[in-house]
Amino acid sequence: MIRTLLVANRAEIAHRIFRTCRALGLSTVAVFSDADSALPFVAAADRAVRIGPGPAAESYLDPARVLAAAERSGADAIHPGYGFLSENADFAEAVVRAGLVWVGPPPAAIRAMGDKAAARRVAEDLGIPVVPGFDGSQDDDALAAAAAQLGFPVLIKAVAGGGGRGMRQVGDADEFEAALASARREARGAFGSDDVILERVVSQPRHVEVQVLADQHGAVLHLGERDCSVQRRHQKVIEEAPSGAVDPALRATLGEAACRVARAVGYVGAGTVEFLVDDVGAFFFLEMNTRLQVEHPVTEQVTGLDLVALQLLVADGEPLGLTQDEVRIDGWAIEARVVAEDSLRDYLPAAGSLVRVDLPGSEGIRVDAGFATGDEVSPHYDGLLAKIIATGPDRKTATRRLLRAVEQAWVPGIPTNLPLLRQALGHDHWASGRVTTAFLADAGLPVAPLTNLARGALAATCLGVAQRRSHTDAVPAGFRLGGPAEQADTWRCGAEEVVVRWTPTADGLRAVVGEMEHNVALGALDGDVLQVEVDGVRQSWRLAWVRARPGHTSVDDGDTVYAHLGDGEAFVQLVPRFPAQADAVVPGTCTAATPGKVVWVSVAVGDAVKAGQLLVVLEAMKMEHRVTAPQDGMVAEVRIAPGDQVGQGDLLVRVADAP
Amino acid sequence: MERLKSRIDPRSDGFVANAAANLAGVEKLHELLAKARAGGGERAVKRHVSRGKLLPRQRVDLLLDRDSAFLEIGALAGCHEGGVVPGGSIVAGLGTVSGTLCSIIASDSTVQGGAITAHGLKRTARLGEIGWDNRLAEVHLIESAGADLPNQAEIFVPGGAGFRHIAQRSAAGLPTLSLVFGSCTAGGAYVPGMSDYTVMVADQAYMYLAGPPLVKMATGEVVGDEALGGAAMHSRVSGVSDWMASSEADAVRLGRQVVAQLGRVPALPPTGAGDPPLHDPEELLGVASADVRVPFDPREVLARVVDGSRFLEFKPDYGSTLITGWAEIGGYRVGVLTNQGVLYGASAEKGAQFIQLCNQSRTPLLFLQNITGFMVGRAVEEAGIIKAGAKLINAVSNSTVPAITLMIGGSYGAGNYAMSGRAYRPRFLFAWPNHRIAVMGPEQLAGVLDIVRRGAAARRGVEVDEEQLQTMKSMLAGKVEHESTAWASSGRLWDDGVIDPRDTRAVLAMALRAVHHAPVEGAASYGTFRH
Repeated sequence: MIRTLLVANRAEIAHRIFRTCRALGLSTVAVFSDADSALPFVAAADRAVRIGPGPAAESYLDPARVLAAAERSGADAIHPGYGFLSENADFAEAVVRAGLVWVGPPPAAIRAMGDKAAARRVAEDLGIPVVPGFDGSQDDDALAAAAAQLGFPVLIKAVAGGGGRGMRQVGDADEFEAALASARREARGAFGSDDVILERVVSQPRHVEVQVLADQHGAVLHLGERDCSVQRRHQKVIEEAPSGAVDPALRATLGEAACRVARAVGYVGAGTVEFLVDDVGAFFFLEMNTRLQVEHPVTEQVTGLDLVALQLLVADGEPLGLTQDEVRIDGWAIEARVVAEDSLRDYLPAAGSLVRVDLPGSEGIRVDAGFATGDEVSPHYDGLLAKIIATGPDRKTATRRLLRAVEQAWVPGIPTNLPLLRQALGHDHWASGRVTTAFLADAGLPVAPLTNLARGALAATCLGVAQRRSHTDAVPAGFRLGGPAEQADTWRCGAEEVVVRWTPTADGLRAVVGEMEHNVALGALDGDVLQVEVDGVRQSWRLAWVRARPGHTSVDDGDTVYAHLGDGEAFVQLVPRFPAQADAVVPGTCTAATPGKVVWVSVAVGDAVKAGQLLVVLEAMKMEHRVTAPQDGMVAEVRIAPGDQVGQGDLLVRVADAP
Repeated sequence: MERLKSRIDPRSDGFVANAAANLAGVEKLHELLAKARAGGGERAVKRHVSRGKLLPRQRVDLLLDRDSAFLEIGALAGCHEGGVVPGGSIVAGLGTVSGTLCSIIASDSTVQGGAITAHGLKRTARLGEIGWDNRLAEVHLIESAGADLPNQAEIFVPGGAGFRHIAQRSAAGLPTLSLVFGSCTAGGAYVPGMSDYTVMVADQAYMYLAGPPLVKMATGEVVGDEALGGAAMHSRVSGVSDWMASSEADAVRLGRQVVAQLGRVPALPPTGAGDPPLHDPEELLGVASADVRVPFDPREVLARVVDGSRFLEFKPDYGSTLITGWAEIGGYRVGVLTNQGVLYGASAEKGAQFIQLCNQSRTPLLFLQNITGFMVGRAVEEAGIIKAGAKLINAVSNSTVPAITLMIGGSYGAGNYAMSGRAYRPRFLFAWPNHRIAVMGPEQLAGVLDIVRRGAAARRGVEVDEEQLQTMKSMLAGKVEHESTAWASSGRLWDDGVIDPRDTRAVLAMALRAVHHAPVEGAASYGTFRH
């Protein structure tokens, strides 16, 4: 019997599993890397074991360290969550060998489904349609020929892949070679294998996956489907259950197919069989994920089942005690993944400090979060911050609830995909329910959200007034004998600036922002929340204030104010009244843009150089940074040599005008 | 603590009439302040701005922390004289710089080139006194043509005290900063010269004992401004200046940084920010009698000024023409003494006892004066009202806790002294526009004249020339009436400023904040009380 469960994972999924453990009366053990020591999941466990430095390969991905942690903490079972070691058959075997309970499928099943090519053959053997593809020779030319035969567009997929990594869609033959190389490179880095398969691209496809459950006594059943068509770069963003593309007949067909695949590989536990469903209802087997999925909550919401509890039940050797007929799909659930990324800059991952994590719940809203206010998002791991899951009697209600929840959600400090989620869930295409994997591209999303500079500046000004009013109550801001002095604050957002001219009034302030005049009555400032009445309209703003320097008691020069204004967000910085003394920049100087190591110096004092000529190469974060001549001239100074470590801003080379 | 209740009727004729008259007084105040703000007039301001220079009030605003209050002191200096720009060609007051309350004095070079005038000198001296008593850092923003030469006789001798003041401040641990924006010649050069910290603006600030023309006249040496006393020379060669600023804003930035590093911890309210009064301060206009002969209940004033309208009255049933008690303003504790009628022996003795209690508990005093004097007559003289008055004056004179006086009506005779008038050196003294101050009221003065004249005529056995006596009486009454207004008082710097009654709480809170920069100590001993 499982008594103490170690979760070999982090952040939201660790939290999610601990929650069920608490409900079942199990003790919990967290493992954490140095980068995660302050995250809430560590404190949420009964015990927590530090397992290594930030890089996953030296912590969460290292089987030996995880097993050692289990031994040290007295855990008798390991749940791998998703990602990391969850689909590593060798690790599963080692867990079992160590006498621990592995909360997951048998290693053989992981192996059988882990090889994408082998998995396709399993499905083909069962007579389940697969996307036409090629899983033969790994020779580049053979692959190119096979691609031409399948017809473009074609999809390259890493055999060992998952999560969209090592996957490339190729539009025509000319791009194939480069795309193949790039897919191989990514696959090698992520999975240690660069083998790929090819698949024909299905027209107007929807990504539909079936949740299966199997126990050790031969029972296999399915919990209906999830639709995960809203994707960006092959990674899921919004998932729902059920799928609008699946009617009861298709549900039964897909469910039966999924159960057959599971049976064929002797599957035990929770797993997911993925299909593509095209615009005429034809379906193709894609692959099977032999773990708990990120998006499992939508299934839980519509079935009323706790998948983690069922995983633990099965792992403990108990029968599921559930028949297919007893599985009911009730209502509609939609999940939005809140991710730290700059959706507008090619979904560039974001890291840094979370000024606030405010994910308000309400009727029909479930929040599975891994981060809280003040936490650091580490660059070592994926950027999933939280999942917001809305449930309702129908898709429309669930959509409305989720849209409101993502509109109210506020995670300032680093870029997140909240603007994208708001745009997607508010889009007509989403409302229509006809959402394919090309949804975001077809809808032209994401678009830049409004910067709300003027409103952000007004809100930030009000915050400053409210802060000061609370401690200089008897002396109004800007007090003068002849009436209050008008104040002028300049706020900046990016390259834009706006001046707020304001004078205090008996109950707030009168402000002119740009051309617009506003009368603001200030209510109480309660934590982050400021109640205001702007031109007679009551509003409740959430405002977070980040000091540029310690010591201020109210908003001052250089400080940043993040604002959630109810129907939009803004952040603004108070432009200092006294511009900082610019460092005198000597023309022709080259400085290090980043800390790093000098690996190459191409010039010596006295050399003539041309503008743009390569002078120095620095290595930082395993990336090469090239330093080039800022102008034509002669090298006047070389401060560094290969092997030197340099700090950001250090002078490297100075080029003077030629004599 | 008890909450003060209000008994006024804002619809009564008296209230409405008071409000109208006091509002007219506030408008007059605004007119005079606007005149002061206008400085040397549109042309002079334009000329100044066209040189790329900031106006003195802009310099002060930039020096102050964001939305800091600025309490001008002596803003109406000289306003009682015709043809004079109120303010003495300077801007002077208290405000917060880098979190530190400072006294700030800026020359207004749009007025006679910023020449030092007699009024300006008096105003500077008064601010110096405030800075000294309350231990405030002092910042000078200087751009001055030097002494107002046609009036040199009024300036020369008192002018020297300013330099002595800065030297003594420095010795007493009170830093003085000078930010020099323009020329600073002869005596004027000693202000930055004596200061602890001096910043000069490049290509714009000059300091020398004699300018190029005078040097040429005296020694024949031909030398330009920059070489003789420019910011670069003084910052690099003579060491008279400590920093050379690249612009006016840069000089202000440096000044703010210097103040920040002084480490003068701001005195925050010991009890928190303080809740507003329960009753509307707007009603103060209708509460205060526009005609000082009509008495009014000063509790109605307190109810609109003190925190939460809370007031613990001391000895409420004894000597009731002097009201005493404790309250808080902006979180600062104060012991209040205020008048409701003339002083009797009992009220004077109660006042003396209350002042001693406040000294014992180190509580600053607030006097709200509306006083026609001590009671007169045989009965009170027999009861020894002089003894009682002497006790009160003894207590006021020897009290060492800070006192603030606000004139909310009349201030006549010995009552002015007993209630901590100017001569008793309260830390601050402000007045409402309805304020009247004189040795006695114009009617009383005319009445006294009448009696004296008739007595003299009777002794000489002649008839009184009624017509002549009437003329004399009305002339005297008119003269005294004119001299006893709040404007005349403020013009002479008998007070630190006339304020809008509705600003009372803000002004007193500022003043209380200032007084807490010096340690509040109670008196160890008093003069002999005559019992």
